[in-house]
Order: sequence, then C-alpha cells, then structure tokens
Amino acid sequence: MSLFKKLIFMVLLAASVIVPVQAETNQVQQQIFASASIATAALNPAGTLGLFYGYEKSKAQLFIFDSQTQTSKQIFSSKLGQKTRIQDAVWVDDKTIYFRLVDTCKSCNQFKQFFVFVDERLNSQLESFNTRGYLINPLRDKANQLMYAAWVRQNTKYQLEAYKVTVEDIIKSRFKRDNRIADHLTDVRRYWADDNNQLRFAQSHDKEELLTTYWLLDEDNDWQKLEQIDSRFYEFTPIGLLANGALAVLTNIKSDKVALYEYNWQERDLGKLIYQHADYDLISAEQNTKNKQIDWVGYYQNGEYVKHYFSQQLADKQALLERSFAPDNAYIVSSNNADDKHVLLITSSNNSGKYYLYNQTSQRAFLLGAKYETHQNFEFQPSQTLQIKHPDGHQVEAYLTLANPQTDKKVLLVNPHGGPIGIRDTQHFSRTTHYLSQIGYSILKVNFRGSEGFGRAHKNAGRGQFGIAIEEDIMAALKLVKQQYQFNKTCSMGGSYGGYSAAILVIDHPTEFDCAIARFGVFDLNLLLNDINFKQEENIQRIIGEVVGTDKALHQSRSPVNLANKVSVPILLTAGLKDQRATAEHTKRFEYMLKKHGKAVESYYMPDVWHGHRNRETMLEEIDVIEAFLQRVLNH
Amino acid sequence: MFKLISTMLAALMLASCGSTLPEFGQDRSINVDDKTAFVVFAVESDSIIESLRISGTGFYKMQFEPSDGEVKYVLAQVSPGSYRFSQFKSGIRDYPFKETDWWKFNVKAGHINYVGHLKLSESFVLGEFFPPIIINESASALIYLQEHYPLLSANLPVRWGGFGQDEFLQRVTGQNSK
Repeated sequence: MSLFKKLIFMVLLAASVIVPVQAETNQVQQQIFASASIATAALNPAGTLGLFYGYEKSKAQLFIFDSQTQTSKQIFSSKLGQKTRIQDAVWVDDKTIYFRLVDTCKSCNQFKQFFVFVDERLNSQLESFNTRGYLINPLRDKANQLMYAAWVRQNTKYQLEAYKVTVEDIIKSRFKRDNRIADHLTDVRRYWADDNNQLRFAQSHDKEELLTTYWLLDEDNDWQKLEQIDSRFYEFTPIGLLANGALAVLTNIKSDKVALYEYNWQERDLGKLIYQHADYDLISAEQNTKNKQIDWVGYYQNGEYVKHYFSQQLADKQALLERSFAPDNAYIVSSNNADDKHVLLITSSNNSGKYYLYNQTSQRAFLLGAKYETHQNFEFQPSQTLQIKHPDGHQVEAYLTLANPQTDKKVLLVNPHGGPIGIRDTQHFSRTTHYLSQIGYSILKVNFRGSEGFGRAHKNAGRGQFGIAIEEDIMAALKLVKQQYQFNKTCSMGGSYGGYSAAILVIDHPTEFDCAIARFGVFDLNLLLNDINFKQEENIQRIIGEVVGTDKALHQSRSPVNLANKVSVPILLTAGLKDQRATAEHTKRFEYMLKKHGKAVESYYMPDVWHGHRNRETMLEEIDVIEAFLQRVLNH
Repeated sequence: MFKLISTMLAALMLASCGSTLPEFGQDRSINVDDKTAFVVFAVESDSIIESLRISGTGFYKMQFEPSDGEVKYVLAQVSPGSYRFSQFKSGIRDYPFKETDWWKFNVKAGHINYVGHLKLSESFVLGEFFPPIIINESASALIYLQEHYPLLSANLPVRWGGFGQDEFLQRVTGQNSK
C-alpha cells in the first residue's frame, strides 16, 4: 500500500471511530436537553377538564384533556421556528384558560397574553391581548371575575394597580377606577391573594432606602402596613389570616431560621412560634380554606423539597402517595375544588418526572405523560447528600452525582453555584448535571457558607468571603468525596460566582485540580464596583459591597486577574458579551493576564448572551465547547 | 449683569458648536510634553448613532457614519483636563446626560486615557427609553491600542480616566514598561 493510500485508510479509520462516538454524544445531548414534553398540568375547578403544555421541536403547544375519557386535544401551537415559552397557564374558570407566551429570541424577552375559551367537546377559541400586567388570582369560584394587576400611568410614572375585572375588561385594557380593589399604594412590586382567594397582600419597595414593605388589606379594604425589612438579610412572607385573627407569616426577623409564626398585624408584633425546622429555613406554607389553619409548610431537606403536614389526614394522604411511587417523590401540583382529583408529579434526583391524573375516590392514577419524553431511555444516576461538619460547628450540605458506570471517565467536576449569597443547590433533577453524568463525569455541588436555606447565620457567613471561607467549605466537601471515591482527574467548573470559585480553587489548590472551566465569572473583584457607570450609584455600591465586602486590598489580593501567574492547569473561560452583571471585561482581563504569563487558556465569547442563557441553542453551543475542552485537556 | 449674560452666551455658543474631535491618524511615536494627552473611547450601538458631544476643558463634537453595530474606537489628542460626555444623539432621539459623575472623565498629560465604551441598546419600556451606558472595557481597549497603535501605546502609558477607580491598566502597562 502506498504511503498516500495508508494515510487515507488511517484517516477513514479514525473518522469511523470518532464520528459515531461524536454522533452518539450529540444524540444524548439532544435527548437530554430536549424541551419538556409536559412542562406542567392543571385541572379546572370542577375537575372535568385539564390542561397541559409542552414543546415539540421548540414549538410551544397547549393541550386540554377530558379527565374522564383522558382524550386530549391541542388548542394552541406557536409557529415553527419561533422561540417561545408558555408561562402561568391556569384555569380562570371551568371553561377559560389564561396563559402568557414569552418570546425568547436572542435579543428580546417580550410576552403576549391569551385567554382560551373551551367547551366540553374540547372545542376552543383563542383571544390574545397585550395588556401590561399579570393575573393575581383567577377567582375560580366567581364566574367571569378575575383579579388582575395592571401597569397604569399616573402622572409621569407607571404604577402597578390591582383590579377586579372581567375577561373582556382585560382583553380591552379597560381598567376603571371603580374596579380598583383597594386604595392606591405607591411603588408596589407585587400583589397577591391568600389561599381564600382574597386580595390580601402587597409588597412595595423603597429604592432609596433599599427596604421592602409588606401590606395587608384588612376587612374594611384598607391597606395596613406590616413589616418593613431589608430583604437581603431578612425574610417576611405573609400567608393568611388565621381563625384567631392573627396573621400566619414565614419569617426570620427574630430567629436564625425562617419559621412559621403568628403575627399580630394590628400591633405589628411577632407572636407565637407555630413551627420551626432545626436545620432548614421554611420556604412555603398553605392555609386550609375552610378551617383557616395552616395545612403544611415546605422546605428543602437534603436538597429535596418536602412538606411537614399539620393534620394527620393530610400526612396519611401524602404517605400513601409516597408509598405508591417510592422511591420517587410525589407532589400534588393541581387539584380540583372538591380536592378529590389531583395532578401528581412523580420525580426524584434521577427521574425528571412523570405527570399522573389521580382520582382519590377510586385511588387510581392514570399516566398523563413524562415531563421529558426523550429521557425515558436513560438510566440516570441518583444524587447523594453529604454532610460536612466543621470543627467550629457549622455544617455544610453537598450533593454528589456519580458518572454513569458505562461511560465513567473517573473525572470529578467540582461545580460551585453562583451568588454566592442567597443562592443554593438542590437535588432537583438537573439536565446539565445528568448530561455530564451520562457522558462520564461525576459532579459535586456544595451549599457553602452564603447559600440560602440553612439559616441567616449560614447565609451571612459567606459575605465578603470570596476565595476564603466559601472555598474552605468546597474543599472540605471535596476532601470527603475523595475519601469515599477514587477519581483520576478533578476539575472545577462554575458560572457567575461559581466561575470565580472555579478559578480561585485552581489558583489556591494547584495539586488538587487538573483543569478549570470558569463561566460568566468575576475575576477582578474591584471591577465589580467600577465596570458600568450606573453602578456608581451609592445604593448599588452598597449592595455589591454587602456581598463581596469592602476591603479593597483584600479584593486585590483575592482577584484571579492578579493571581494569573499561579494558574498551573488548563483553563477555559466563557462569557456573554451582553452580560451586565459580570461583564465580559472580567473574563477579558483574566484571559489577558493568563496569556501574558504564558498560561494555557482558552476563551469563548457569546455575542447575544447575557448573564447566562436565554435560549437552548447558545446553551448547547457552550456545552459543546466545554465538552471539547474537557476531552482535549484530560486526554480522553 | 452684562458680563454674566455674555459669559453665559459664550458658554452656550461653545457648547452648541464646539470643534470636531481631532482623531489621531496613523500610528507613530510622539514627543511627550506636559501638554500632550490622548483620550480613547469606543461607541457601540445597534441603532444609528448620529453625534456625540464632549464638554469641559474643551468642547468637541463627533459625527458618526451609519454602522452595523460594530465597535467604533475613537483616539484623539486633546488638552489635559476634566471633561464629560454631554450629549448623545441617535437616529430616534437625543440623550442629554444628567449632571452626575457617571459621565465625567479625566484626561491626564503624558498618558493615553481610556474613558470607556459608550453603549446604546435603544429600547422603550413602560414609557421610558433606556439611556446609554458606559462600560469599562479596559482589556479590550488595551488590546485595540496594542494592535492598532503599537508605537504610540509603547510610547505612552495607558490609564483609566473614566468614572470610579480602576488600576488595571496602570498595573498592566506599568508591568509592560519594566
């Protein structure tokens, strides 16, 4: 064989090996990152009809189904190629649906709103409208009456006002003064109803003082001021008025953890503690519409969303569902007014979810469909929780998802979250985590100091700890994982604060890491205060300072741009050129300094991307770049 | 009174007219004295940018050719002193800049003073136009200068002259000169 023929043969042989592997990976990626077949489902008040929506080939589709016959019919579909997302699809009454359609094209984020009128034969009629506002509450027990919050111009400023109006009023943007539910409040950011469908609460914000004020609408239709808090440090979520007249609230204004309290709203005084979890902040609660007691409170335990029930009957009902679908978790996502028909979501850390229609009377569940139809052929790895106890007593929770044993590359990706203050990781099914696991990588996520959900002290302990205590927690989690599992290579990978962390981890611990992927990162801490002119505003400087700290010398010494000479592993930097939170300048500076010091750096700048992705295409393009980088630098 | 009115009129005339910002031509090394100073900034928008005005130690205006959103760098020799971006005109409307420190910059003698990337993403939300912003893109500006003006940037240190405080350029160009 001539040298030329040998060469051709070798190239073809290599191509025949590489191309199927690449094609297989792309297929796995396409399947795991496919849009949801059923994003969510809901029953109408009577429980006779249901809706669900999802996506096929990026087309948003809305369906209705008959809960008796389980027959379904498509009632809305976006145009092929139009990048849209359905939001807030709810039943307004037994025959009317409201939903919003968000256009997620590269340079916009506009939305349209719709009402759909349906009948028992599943026929439908669609009306779109462009009113600026949102549905507060469909008032499902009142025919053709809704609570809607509309942006209305008052003098020179737009204000959010709450109205009780008809469907026709909303479509025609007809918001009369007489239909206003209560007197005007200024600078309201949100109105919401209690579980008895009464407009009950409002939240306004003082931009100068950075304070959030909570308001209660009393029985005389007057707004009563509740607490005024700095929401960066405290929580205060009103739930509803209890039978004894006190207000049930979730708050941490007098405790480390967010707990359920009685609140005397006339005296503005926090009263009896109703329920508190020893380790976790409560994040949700629901009130019983009949007896006005609290039915349950919700929180994340070991990264999974769980509920504590106050009534034995509800606890038994949940236990039955949990037993029936074990080892997965069963969540009721929608119920009819009689509370005997439910839509269930069955999910876990390694199950992206299936929706069932559950009839409580017959105790039968009918499968509506999988949340992601394309996930059904995969065996995803379950995540496990790690508890790391520090000598000083503070505890850190971490989650480890191992690689698929079939493809295991024996590589651990340490994946710190963004923030770092007030953000957290959970064990909710994550497509990115499971894609990486399927192609052979294990992933470690750590709820380091600063993370949400573990009390105020834990959250505040992360302030000003960039590259210090936060990374101590990450390294403690890594140490524990390495005691239990063997990996040949370890890389850091994260976005936003996680991008900073990915960089500082390899700078401070060069022997522990083999590469780093720093996405949308901050790399020059003093630049955080000086990257955009409007950040010169005093309050913005204060907000940033309360996260990153105010010690400029420390910022300088803990900034990767000033430590680029200490990077000893290959590093990939990715950034969105439209990012105004962690501007691409951070990445460009770090890249410049790394190149100046002759370090192995690759960069990937995305022109139409902000702080993270708004559409699937740019996200998948970035994942391809990350995957190729890992394969190249780790030689596998 | 007459003096005050004449001064105000003169200032108004200067502000309304101003001279065209003298852009630096081909790259070359120059002799530096205490009156030599350069300003560099960039303008970027997906809208048509018609003109930009600068006021302060000197009054300047710039006209722009229609572009397709690409970054337009401006390097000019100006007198050292304090300046501010005072007006920005797109194809749709004028954006007068408020009297805040956000738009001020300082040009120091013996330096190339980078003062930011002026960006306008023209959108209208809830009755208000989003104003232009200035982003500190020092690394991009430095790379631009080193690629397009290697002689001048080797001859003069580059510094940040815009809002706030930022020592990145001083540190980098200081290290370069060692």
